[in-house]
Amino acid sequence: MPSRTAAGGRAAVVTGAGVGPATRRGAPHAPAWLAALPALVVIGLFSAYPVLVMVANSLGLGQPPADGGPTLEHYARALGSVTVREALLNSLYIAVGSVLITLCVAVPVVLRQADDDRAGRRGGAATDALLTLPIALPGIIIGFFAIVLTGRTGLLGLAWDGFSGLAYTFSGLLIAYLYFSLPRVLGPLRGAAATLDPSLTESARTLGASRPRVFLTVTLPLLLPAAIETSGTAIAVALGGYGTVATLSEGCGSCRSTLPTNSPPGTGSPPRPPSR
Amino acid sequence: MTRLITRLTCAFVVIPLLATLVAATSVDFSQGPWGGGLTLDWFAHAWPPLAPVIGRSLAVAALVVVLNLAVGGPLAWWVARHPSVLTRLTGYLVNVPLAVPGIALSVALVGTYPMLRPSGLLLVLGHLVFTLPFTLAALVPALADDELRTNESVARSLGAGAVRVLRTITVPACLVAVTQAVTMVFALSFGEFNVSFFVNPPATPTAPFALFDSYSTQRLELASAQSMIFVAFVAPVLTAIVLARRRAPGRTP
Amino acid sequence: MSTPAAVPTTDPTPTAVRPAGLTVDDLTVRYGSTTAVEHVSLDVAPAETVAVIGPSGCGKSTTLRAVAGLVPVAEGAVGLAGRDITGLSPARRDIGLVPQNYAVFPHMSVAANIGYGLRARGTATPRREERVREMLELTHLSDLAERRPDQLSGGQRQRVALARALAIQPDALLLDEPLAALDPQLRGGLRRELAAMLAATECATLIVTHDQREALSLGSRIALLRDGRLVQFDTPQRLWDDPVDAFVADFLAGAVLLDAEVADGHAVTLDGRWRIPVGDLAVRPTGHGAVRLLLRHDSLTVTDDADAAALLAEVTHSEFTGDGVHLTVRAGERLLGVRVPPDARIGRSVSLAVAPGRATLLSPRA
Repeated sequence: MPSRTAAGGRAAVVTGAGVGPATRRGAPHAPAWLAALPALVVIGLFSAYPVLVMVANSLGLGQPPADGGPTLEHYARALGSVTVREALLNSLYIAVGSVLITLCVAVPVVLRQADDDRAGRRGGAATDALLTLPIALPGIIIGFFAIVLTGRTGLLGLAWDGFSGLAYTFSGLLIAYLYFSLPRVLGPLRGAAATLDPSLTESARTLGASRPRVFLTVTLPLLLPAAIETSGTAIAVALGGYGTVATLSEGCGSCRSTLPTNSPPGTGSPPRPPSR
Repeated sequence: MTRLITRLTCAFVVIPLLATLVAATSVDFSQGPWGGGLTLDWFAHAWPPLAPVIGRSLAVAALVVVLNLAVGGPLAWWVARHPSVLTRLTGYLVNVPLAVPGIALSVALVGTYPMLRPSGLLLVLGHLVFTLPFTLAALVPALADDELRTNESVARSLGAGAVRVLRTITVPACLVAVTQAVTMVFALSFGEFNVSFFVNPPATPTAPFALFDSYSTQRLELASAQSMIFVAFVAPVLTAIVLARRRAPGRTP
Repeated sequence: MSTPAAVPTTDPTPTAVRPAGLTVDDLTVRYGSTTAVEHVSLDVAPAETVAVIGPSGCGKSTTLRAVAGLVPVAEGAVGLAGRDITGLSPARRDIGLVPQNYAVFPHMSVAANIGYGLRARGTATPRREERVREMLELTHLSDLAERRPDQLSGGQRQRVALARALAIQPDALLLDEPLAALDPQLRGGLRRELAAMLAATECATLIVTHDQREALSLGSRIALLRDGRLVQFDTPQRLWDDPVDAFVADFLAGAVLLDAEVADGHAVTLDGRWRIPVGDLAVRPTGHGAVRLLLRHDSLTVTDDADAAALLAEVTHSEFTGDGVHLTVRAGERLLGVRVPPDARIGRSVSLAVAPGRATLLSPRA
């Protein structure tokens, strides 16, 4: 998402052609990419390289003790295992399901926020702050929320028995991940909604289209690219979101396994979720 | 209709916070809300063990913020001002940690650099790698702005050197974006669990790790109190992000 | 703001000492493989205003940016006040730049904007404040000194940008499309205001515009560019009276320039289909070679007698202009313009004759 640059946006000749580096002739100076070097080194060493090593190891290309020779055996073995396969599928269901539901909620919310902002209505900041808050809450806290509300002694359980213990079920986990994904979808989507030109929907209305029709034929198609990009990232993050599952799996042997807790650290001293 | 959904979504976010607050102020939550009466004792018990951990987390987060600006700022400048195939590739590379599940990368980090773990250096670098995408996302559009670039050329034509242009034109124009990046990075690092969980120096945990420990070993009421303390540290930072974002130029038509 | 003594002093040098204003010598600018400006040479005397004009993409803005040092020069040289500034950093050129959107720094007050260049040069505070006050007075902004740019109108912003550029007492002033960002209704007044302020300055001024009215009224000379090349560089009067080619005539004056030859006291044009008695034409000398016929909108009339001096043309378009009707007519391959009274009855085709003395025959021999 940060790779987007808005270079040469204006049509004027001033910048249209002048996108290239402004010269600093006279004072000879270092090439511009030098500025990026420290960051690239950090990213290369601590992001790209470890991932490459991990991929290489998984393919049997690593150094000993990795068993010699390129092989897909690790993958075959992992995918052959029923528990891994089930965990993988559960993870996928939860990540994709929670993000899709979030999207359905997020679209009307961002449209409302964009409307309010344009109309200069008050209260926007409070809503905005509230809806952004969960992004800074680690998954474990969200898992804990689920326990407080729908655990065995949960608050909502008092209102209706069906809520008791919901936290440890598939749907409970789905709802917890909804909380987790909400700010990650809302944030980028807000930006897209704010740039929607209201005159487009107004024109569509004056052409005789009903509100739902305008939504389906104008608003939604315009939001779609941002929605796809956003949900892609959110699904990836949700797939790796470990804290929620870790918390909810505590003292819950019967709860379904999902992938993050099922991928034991292969190297280093494996820190296990401390168990009672 | 959209207003109703927005209200419900807000409620969805708020209710767990309120419920946790109720749990944290109940003498015995298993007897229902405020079962056994109202108390602040849990907060008193929660703070002493949490204090050093929060201090450590704050320090890590602050360090990660500084490194983000020092390393991510120039990177963002390069990506914004010299767009090419290379910068686009860099954009993808920076985003790798968003696409790779956090724990996978953490495990890979610990496996590749076990010697950096005890000092906590690996933790900081792990957080740095995870937060750089957000720094870039905030800074690149601000730096690529045409108006800013024209302003910079005018400032230079008026006789200002590179440092002065940076100080008097570029940084003030990017202030909102920088605030947004700083607060976001801070909040993310402070609440980061995946990397912290695996890369933590075992003897010196950070806040999310300590929370996790409480969740698994302590009473629900105490854990609630600790959660609320954690939220209390994060909420102001988030509010700052939102206020900065709302002040961003170009939002009003 | 204190600065080391290394900063060059900006105290005014009397203009008489300066050997020359701005010179652009054989300038070529390339962006990658495309050549934006090719072998352009210009000069602007101190206190003179030169307008660079041309259709969009002709390289006029690039020329300005090259003079300001914002794009690299591939070939050629830029000189200012006797110095060669081709390779100099923009910060050391002593050039005041007013970009198209004015680039008024949004986070500084009007006064701080105007004083920016002086601060950067380390001008002492009392001197700076005095200079800012002078500039505020010159641009009629004294009442707005502490305003923020977002509280200003377009015209006021333009004046801030101008004051800021002039505050450093530059050797050259560069204005990029100075009026394009303003409401059309305001342009006339602001153009006259701008002309007055420019007249009060001593520096060489280069104005880039695509509007021929602006160029004709603001420039003491006009450089017309097309496709990165300089087509004609002369005074507005001479560009108007003696355009070098049909493009210049059309772009600057909306006129038509036809190749012609003189035979038997007649000007013959349009491949011999039109013979006009030389006596009906104003004959002027030209500095550009061949004999040509210059037709403006008021040069032609519709006539009833289809004699030898009349041209039969087909009406392709008619446009009501208030005091008359403007017809676009086609004669052979050429489109011509002719004005008729609003009540004239016009058919599909018309006979055209020149209005005596209104059409010009440009002849190398006077």
